[in-house]
Amino acid sequence: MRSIQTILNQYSEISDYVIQDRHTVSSEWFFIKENLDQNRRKDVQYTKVKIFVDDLDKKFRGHAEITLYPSHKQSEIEDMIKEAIASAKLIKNGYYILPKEEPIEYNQSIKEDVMLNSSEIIDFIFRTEKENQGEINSFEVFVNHHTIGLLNMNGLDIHFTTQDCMIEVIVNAKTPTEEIELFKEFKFEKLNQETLGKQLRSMFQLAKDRAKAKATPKLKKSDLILSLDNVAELFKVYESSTNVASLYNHSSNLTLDGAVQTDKALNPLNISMLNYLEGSMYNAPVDSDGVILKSVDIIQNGVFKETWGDARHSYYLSKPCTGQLQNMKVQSGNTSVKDLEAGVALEVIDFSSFIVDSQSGDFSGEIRLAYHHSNGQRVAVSGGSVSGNLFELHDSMILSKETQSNNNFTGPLKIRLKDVSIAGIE
Amino acid sequence: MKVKTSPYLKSIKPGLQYLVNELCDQFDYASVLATDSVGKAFSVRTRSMDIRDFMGERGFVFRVIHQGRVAEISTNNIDVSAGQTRIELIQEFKQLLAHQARFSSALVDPSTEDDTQIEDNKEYGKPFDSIRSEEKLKQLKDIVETVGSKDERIVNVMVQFVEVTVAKLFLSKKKDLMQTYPWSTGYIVIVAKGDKGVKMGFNSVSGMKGVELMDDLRAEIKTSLKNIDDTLKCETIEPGEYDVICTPDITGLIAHEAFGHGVEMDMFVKNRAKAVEYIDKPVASSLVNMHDGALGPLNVSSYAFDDEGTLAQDTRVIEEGILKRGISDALSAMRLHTPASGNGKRESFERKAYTRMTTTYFTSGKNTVEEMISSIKKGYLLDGMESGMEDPKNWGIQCVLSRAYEIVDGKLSGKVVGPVILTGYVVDLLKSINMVSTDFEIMGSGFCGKGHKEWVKTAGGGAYIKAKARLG
Repeated sequence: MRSIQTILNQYSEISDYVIQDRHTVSSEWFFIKENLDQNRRKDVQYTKVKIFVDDLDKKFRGHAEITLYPSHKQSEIEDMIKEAIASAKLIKNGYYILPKEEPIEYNQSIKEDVMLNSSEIIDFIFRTEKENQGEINSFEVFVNHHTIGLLNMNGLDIHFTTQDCMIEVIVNAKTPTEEIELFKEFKFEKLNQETLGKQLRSMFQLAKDRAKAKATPKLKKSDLILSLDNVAELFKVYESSTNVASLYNHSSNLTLDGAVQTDKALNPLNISMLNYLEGSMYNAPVDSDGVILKSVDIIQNGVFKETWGDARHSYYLSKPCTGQLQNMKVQSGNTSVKDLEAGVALEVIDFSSFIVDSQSGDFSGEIRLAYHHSNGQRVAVSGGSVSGNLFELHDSMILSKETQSNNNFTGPLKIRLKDVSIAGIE
Repeated sequence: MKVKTSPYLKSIKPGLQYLVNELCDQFDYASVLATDSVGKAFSVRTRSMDIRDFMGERGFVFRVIHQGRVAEISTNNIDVSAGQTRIELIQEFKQLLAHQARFSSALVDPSTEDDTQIEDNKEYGKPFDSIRSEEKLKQLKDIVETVGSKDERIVNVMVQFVEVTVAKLFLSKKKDLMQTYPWSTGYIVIVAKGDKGVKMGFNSVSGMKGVELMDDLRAEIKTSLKNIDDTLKCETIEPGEYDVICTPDITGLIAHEAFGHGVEMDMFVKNRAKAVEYIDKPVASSLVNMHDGALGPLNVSSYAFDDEGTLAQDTRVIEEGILKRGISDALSAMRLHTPASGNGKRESFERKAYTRMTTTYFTSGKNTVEEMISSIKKGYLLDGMESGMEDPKNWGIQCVLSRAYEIVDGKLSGKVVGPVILTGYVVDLLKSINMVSTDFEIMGSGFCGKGHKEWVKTAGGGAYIKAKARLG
């Protein structure tokens, strides 16, 4: 990084720069049942250089970003920097500045032993399968350890390590006539046996339920219950709609200081974006511009109170810059899961893919497994689809008292929405 | 004009050949894929613009197979000409294989690899460097301003031009393959505020093209404006089963999700594909012929060899409604004792190779679109591909579309509904196809994931098809 900094300092037309050096070492394993397909090791290094150039009147600021590889020769790097400066000069965005940050200490330091960490995960998966008589079709394990250095023209110079793990698991269960599967991805910072064990045991049970599922009834409209990762996915609408870039580009349906929900909302929302969340693989001291991440309460009692986001768009909107936060907290409600499931409702457990348009609030998905709750009875169903719009439905939203914490989301375990469109089968 | 070969790949080839030979002395099989791809995305919005690197990569993935076991190392962090590299690579592979020892393996036999040498440089009309970045931004800005001035409900326009030059070198004891090919995509994204809030619409163009794609992008202005107008008018659909006509991009999405993913043969190895039970059996109407292959119509995934060094093909997956064969990466083919079809693709040199699609399409038929519309009493013309999801094990299908145009008594009524989700059982959907148009179009603006990761460029399309589908 220092050698690149030396080159950058030679160009007086550069108004600002950020250099990010990332070294990633990974261990990856791929299993088909108990047999290994292959294992892989990864060792890659990238240096991203973001160059900013202002016009003389400080009316415009342009930037260009280049990625340098270890195989680039000195002469290639110098040519790429010259080209980036030329590109940045062509970009006429409104003027802005990166905040000057005070030096910080960041003590999170994860030891690099990706082989050991991946082996622990593999052993835990096999053990959980055996102890719970599950049937895993195949699974993949990825453990990535990152050593990151970041410095900018404002004097920020920080080094830290992070780790992210991802496993993809496919579970089977048999019906009298065929075999079905469930597919899940789990992401986390490091193995938490209690959490992953719970997730895997749940998958084994859900697969068995899908195997005996009936066709989804032709309900047309029904109350919809969502749980776990589908709750987190749906709440991304609020994350996106309160971001400074969305507001600046007029692509948000929300207005700052305006009501997100009406005064008829059953559960007024309270949502925060956080710089740290236990177990999240997105915890970091700074974002890619070198902005120190700061937590913020974005929605309070159903009102959009604060924005969050990057330095550039925060400057345009004259808002405090929080940096590019990636963790979200939603305050849970007062209704127990038992009460939430009362009456008649369709609880979708697993979609083929839950599609949420974070801008318009439209959501939809094909039902791989759902429970049709009807006055205390619960029947597993499959097939058909649900669709709706969060902005049209969120006054009716009920949040469970029980909570979940999954990677970068913490909030209610389940939510219930009223009168959602259902395309059933019979 | 032909795309130029990467000087970097040429310069490191002798060093890599030496390393592969040294690895072959220690292990039963060794290969390396080296990449040096460069790409840029030029974006202009109503209130901002940027130029950024896009899908560039430079690195290596080494593969060894020893006693049937497979291990890989991805790196961009070695000096191929340094003597120490050879020692470190051999040591690291020995460690990787030693770690495998406590597990049983799905063994492979690489001994049947063919001798092949090729150097392939594809062509484009106008090279990416034939006009300057400044001119590209200016052309995009013109489109933004033209679109933005046509409808006062438009609050933001984003126009993007992406140019990528892919350069790859594959070496093994028997193979010496080098290829360079270009692709480009363009998007017009319109954000507009209507009675139901802020909505977005997008149109795209793509191809194995140079900057001539800018002309294709400009030609999309009128359609883009109509589509966002229709999107703002969208009403909610009454869920149910309908006669539908799919535009070529929706046909491509169905081909991709319904049978493309369903015949990826790494899923056969895992017993995750229902298609295994249906080889040589009817799975679609006899009007249906489906292909996948990088040697199909030229678009964004038209390579000469895949990321495991297998030459590209154009595989006939469904012939007159009968499922004939799947598509395969090299390791799956070894495990299944079937020929590899040139479908082993990686997201980048950093990632594992899986069986992936290339250009997936239904061939055209004999009907006109007018005949198809006039044959429907009550149904929808489906348009505006958004996303899809596969279910190779249980043959469900999910396609999300931004718009559907109502057809009543053989005519478009003017009513638009959306967004729409199409779901159903793949075979029911494909067997219900009773008309196929003479039109034929391939699009490659999107990315395809394996599950929810491993994003690669694919193309798809075909003709208009008429079928019965469940919409919600």
